[in-house]
Amino acid sequence: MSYSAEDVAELKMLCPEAAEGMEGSTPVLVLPSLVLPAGCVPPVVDALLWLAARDGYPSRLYLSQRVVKPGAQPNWNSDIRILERNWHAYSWNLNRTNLRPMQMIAEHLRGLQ
Amino acid sequence: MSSVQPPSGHSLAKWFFLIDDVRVPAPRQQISEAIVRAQASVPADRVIIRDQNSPSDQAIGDHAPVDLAQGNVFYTVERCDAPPAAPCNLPPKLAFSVDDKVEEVLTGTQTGQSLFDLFALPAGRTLFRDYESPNDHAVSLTESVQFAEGPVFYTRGATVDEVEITIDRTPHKVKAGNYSVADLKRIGGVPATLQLDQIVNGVITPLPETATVCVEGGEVFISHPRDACSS
Repeated sequence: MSYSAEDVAELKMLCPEAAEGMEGSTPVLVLPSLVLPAGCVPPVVDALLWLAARDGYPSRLYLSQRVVKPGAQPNWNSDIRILERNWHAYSWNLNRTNLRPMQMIAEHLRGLQ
Repeated sequence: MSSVQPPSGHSLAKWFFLIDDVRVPAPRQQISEAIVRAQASVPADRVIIRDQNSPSDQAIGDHAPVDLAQGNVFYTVERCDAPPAAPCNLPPKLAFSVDDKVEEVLTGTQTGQSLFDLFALPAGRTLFRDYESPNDHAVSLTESVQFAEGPVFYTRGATVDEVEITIDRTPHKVKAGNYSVADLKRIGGVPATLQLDQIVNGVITPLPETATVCVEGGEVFISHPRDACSS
């Protein structure tokens, strides 16, 4: 999965400090202070979008904390260290790879609504 | 005179000439007598004269270069009545065109307002200089308009109520007001099956299908599928 400068610029609407990173040979997008869907605790966390297939998912959204949301809780199934930080991801399968990063994040966040 | 360079992002300006009171489109600013003759169907027994509102108007020699920026108004006479090809120092007539109507002036420096007045354009119209590209230039009332930068203009309806929204990174001009999610999807070419979200103060805000959005300008929307699930 590749992305463009336009993709990163679009993400800066969500996180002005959005930045590109590399974990080994895999590009990732780091999203400091991403606002989560209403009702989530905490309401704002750092996030990392892993754009490539991993653990059976076509992409993954990692958060800096496990988040509590209203209603049924997400199935947190990954604790991992990337770019010298600990991250957590819940089970959420986008079932597709042809999305731009902004669309991936919007779709991943549906798992916290 | 060389061709005037267009503003950044624009192609060359469109040109025309007026000959015996007939408006004829020109392919570019720098043409030749042969092009004028051919496009205006001037018979070989007539000579083309550049109109400088003078008894000593200048005849254009056969196949001579013609720079329309030095005057785009011409008339024809029988060869036996043609004036000498000596230069005439009087200012040439300059023809501007707006919405295919033509007005002649003697000064090449105008403003948006003076063209509105010259052509008696109704208030509320927006004046555009016509370029050989889709990106024409809107001319404000106070803006200086140089004939040499292109004499062809057109107007469009009032745009004061139009604002810009962005859907999936593509800007769209719409009238301010209330829009249903279905309307916004139609404007953005978003399939009805996709979810439409609005970015509000940096937050992805899902829009219910029944929602109405008050568009004031600057709104940003994104679409995405909604078939992801826990696995």
